[in-house]
Amino acid sequence: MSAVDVITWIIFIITIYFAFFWLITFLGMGQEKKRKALKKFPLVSVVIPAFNEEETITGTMKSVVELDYPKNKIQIIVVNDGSTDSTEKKVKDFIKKHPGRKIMLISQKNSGKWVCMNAGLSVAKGEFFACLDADSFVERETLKRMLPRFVGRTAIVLPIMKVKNPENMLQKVQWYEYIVNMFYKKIAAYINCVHVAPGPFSLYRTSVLRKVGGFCYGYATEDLEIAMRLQKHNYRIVQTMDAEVYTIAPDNMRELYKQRVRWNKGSLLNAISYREMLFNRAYGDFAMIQMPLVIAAGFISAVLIVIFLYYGLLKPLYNLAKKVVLVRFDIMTLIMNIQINSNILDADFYRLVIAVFTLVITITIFVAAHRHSKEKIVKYGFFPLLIYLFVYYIALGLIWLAILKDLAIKKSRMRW
Amino acid sequence: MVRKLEKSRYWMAAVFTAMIFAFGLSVGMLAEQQRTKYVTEQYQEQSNEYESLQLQYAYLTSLSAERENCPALQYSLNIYIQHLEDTRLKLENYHESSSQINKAEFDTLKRQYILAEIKAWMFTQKVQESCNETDIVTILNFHSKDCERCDDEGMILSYFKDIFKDKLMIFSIDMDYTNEPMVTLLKKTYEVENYPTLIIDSQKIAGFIGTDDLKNVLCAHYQNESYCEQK
Repeated sequence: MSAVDVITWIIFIITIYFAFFWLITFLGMGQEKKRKALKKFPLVSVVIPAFNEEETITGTMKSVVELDYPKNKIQIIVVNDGSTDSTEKKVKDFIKKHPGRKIMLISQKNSGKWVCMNAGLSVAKGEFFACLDADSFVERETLKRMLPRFVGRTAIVLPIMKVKNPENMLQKVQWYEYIVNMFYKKIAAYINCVHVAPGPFSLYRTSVLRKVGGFCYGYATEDLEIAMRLQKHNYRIVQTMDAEVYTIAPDNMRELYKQRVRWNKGSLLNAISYREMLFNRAYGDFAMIQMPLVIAAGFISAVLIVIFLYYGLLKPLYNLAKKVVLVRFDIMTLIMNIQINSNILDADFYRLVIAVFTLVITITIFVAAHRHSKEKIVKYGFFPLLIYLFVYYIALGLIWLAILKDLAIKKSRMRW
Repeated sequence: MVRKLEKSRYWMAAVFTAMIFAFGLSVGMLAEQQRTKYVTEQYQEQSNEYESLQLQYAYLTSLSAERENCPALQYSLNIYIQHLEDTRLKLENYHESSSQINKAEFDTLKRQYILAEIKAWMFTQKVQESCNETDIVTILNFHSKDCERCDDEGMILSYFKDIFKDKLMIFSIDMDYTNEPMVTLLKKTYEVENYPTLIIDSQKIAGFIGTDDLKNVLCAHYQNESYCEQK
């Protein structure tokens, strides 16, 4: 066995282990306790950080105003992060049109989302604190469905985030991705292993947020940093599957790439900065399974993508190109003499078993995710589903590869 | 405060992971056994074919001047060699990916196929002589695993096979298999020092030979081949 074989097998074993771990956790989840109806209506502060969001800000604010919740129990704080477009005007117009509502506008010079959120936190009067990205929209029922989930040491309750009106292929693929990811977070939440509280309408207990010191920069992913910090303080993060928030997903590869570079870098670097939790039993399952997974995920996908690209694509293509050159581009002769002389015994059975197994787990989780989020399985067509299952992860792996390369270069520069 | 850690879940995941890999391994083993079985069966069949060829040949030569039966013999010989080559290539692939467990069986099969190739090569020459066939070229291709350009030479040879079809007979001998005295013998006879080395009819070409040069060499042996007329 060559070194590549050994690495491949180690990666396979780790991947399958993680898959089984989550599958077992999923099977042990059982029925969720019924949500209690909300009796009291505590004050909720909703902070909307906005930087050049003139197109969506009105809709976002409107969705908050239209929440099925007592009007005087919602405080809306829009923080304009030095927008250069008409965001501020749009907000002011909106305030004028809704005189009875508690809406305030804070304008600051551009300094980043986490600063906006802290600015909002400093004036928040609510017992609960929600952050809502200015490109996201809450459903009417969302808040009512989330609040009853605050029990015991619960610090954050997460809504289910879905892609808003997916139009092109990329957005439809992300629709499926989000559904699966939310369900994965639901399973993780069952053993308190959630490591991220996404920007669209994560609901915090304000007192806890203040106690741990508010938001940090966290490598431009304050939502990952705060979740890991709260895990370190042994709080609980809960994922709901019925409280919906819709967010606009990138509609082109460039934007997706930028977004994922930020997310992935953030998850890796934040996890590394909380590495003292890694394999520290005092932090329970979060330390034993989720931290290793978050740290290893990038390396695993990068190695798998390299192996796949090299053996599945580059090497066969190189051989074909070499052959064509060797025969002086007499392609006709090659084509006329193609013989398919293979039988079932030629298959690589070890890998086949692993591949079939992985596919079965993927489909099981996929179906379960749709059942739990009450969505139709082929809501946005079969073709995007195929792309999601068989092509999309290649793209995500490539993004990881770029990030790791980038980080490696920076690291070596720092040493100089 | 100590957080919950349910150890059984970790153990269960480990056990299931081990089970999947054990299952994959057993399926792989089973496949390997089937592969040796398949090649053995093919070998049996080809041995019969070879015996039949020998008989046909003996019969023809005993009747002396029965030259008109030569085409039939040539035809069967061609089919036999094609079968031999197909199975040999499969065997090469299976051998490469085989685990240590079935190594012995694969080695035996490999030896059988090397011998079969050499036998077929000698037999072809004999038939050519008896049938007074001049338009068929035989190539003995000595190759080795750690030889950089052997694969390229193989590609070029199979390309020419596609072009000249039945007029070109290629026999590949894996020179790594030194357990077989016949291999060593050939190596000595032809003074093979580097790989690939080709023996084209009786002409020795040591080292890699490119498409254009090989075309010239081959075309010198053929008359009336339309491919050789092309520039």
